[in-house]
Amino acid sequence: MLKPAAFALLLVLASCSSPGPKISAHDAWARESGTAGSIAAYLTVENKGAADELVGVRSSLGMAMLHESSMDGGIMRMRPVDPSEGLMVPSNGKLLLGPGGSHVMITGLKKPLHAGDNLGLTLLFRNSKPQHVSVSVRPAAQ
Amino acid sequence: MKKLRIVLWVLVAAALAVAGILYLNRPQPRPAVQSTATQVSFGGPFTLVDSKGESFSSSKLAGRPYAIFFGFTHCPDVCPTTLAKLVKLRRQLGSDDAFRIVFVTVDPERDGPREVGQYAGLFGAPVIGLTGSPEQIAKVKKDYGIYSEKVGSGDTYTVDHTATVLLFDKNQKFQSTIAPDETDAAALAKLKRLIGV
Repeated sequence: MLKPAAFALLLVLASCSSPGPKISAHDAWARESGTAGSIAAYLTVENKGAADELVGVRSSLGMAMLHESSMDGGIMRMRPVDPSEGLMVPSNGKLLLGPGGSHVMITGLKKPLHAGDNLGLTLLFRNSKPQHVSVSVRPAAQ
Repeated sequence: MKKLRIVLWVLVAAALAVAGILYLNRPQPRPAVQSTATQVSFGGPFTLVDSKGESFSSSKLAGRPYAIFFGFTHCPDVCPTTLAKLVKLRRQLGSDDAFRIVFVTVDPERDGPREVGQYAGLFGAPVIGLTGSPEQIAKVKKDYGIYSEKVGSGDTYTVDHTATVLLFDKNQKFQSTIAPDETDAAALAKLKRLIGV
């Protein structure tokens, strides 16, 4: 009598557990670009599910890569993020890309970007579908 | 009784001696700027090139305090962030004339007069952009205790560099530094001291 009910209960419980990541990205911004044709874009990735990794990024306006600035005794260094590692988006948490830390570096811009412009980015994750986000370009002195 | 009193006074003298030694050996703060030799002071006269391609002598900076930051225009994150921060803090002090902001490139190969001029002009406030020959830049870096190293190759190399801001008073004497990760409040206090507020 009890066995099928217990089995059914187990099935229901099993289907409720191990949800995937639930990713969304927002608050994407960048400063105006100079003649160098490169900018850094910053954004927030939120995850309401299991942990995931941001492993890459694409932009139609130039070559986009994930970079990390780090400081070492007053010396600033910038390095690409290893695509096989990516950046961790914690379970039920956030990944913040901000000034002085991880950021999206876009190079090879054919035209400078001015305050008020927007550019589209596609974020690539290890376990989730790509996310599109619109980056709003702000004045440099912000 | 007398012997005990002598012993006690000897102990007092010994304690005072130990305290004195500890005080003289108290830990000293480390300087914030990285350098290979122990540079006690930074600065000195320099000749570089301004955004119009004309020779720029450091003597032009006398008469007003200034903040010097070394970076490169292909730096999309730390350099604009630092210059924007300096512009913002200067606004908080009330006037663009409070102190000068000087940007010197550590990447003269890519950053000529036009590049540093355009970069300095991004912030909507007076910023002096300077470049120079590789020899001129190397000399300024050395005198100012600045490290930089090209990393990568081709067109898209990055440059590791000291990102500390150096503050000089109106007599062109080195006064203090602002570290890249210093809070706005701490940086503002140093700038206030720099301009004599």
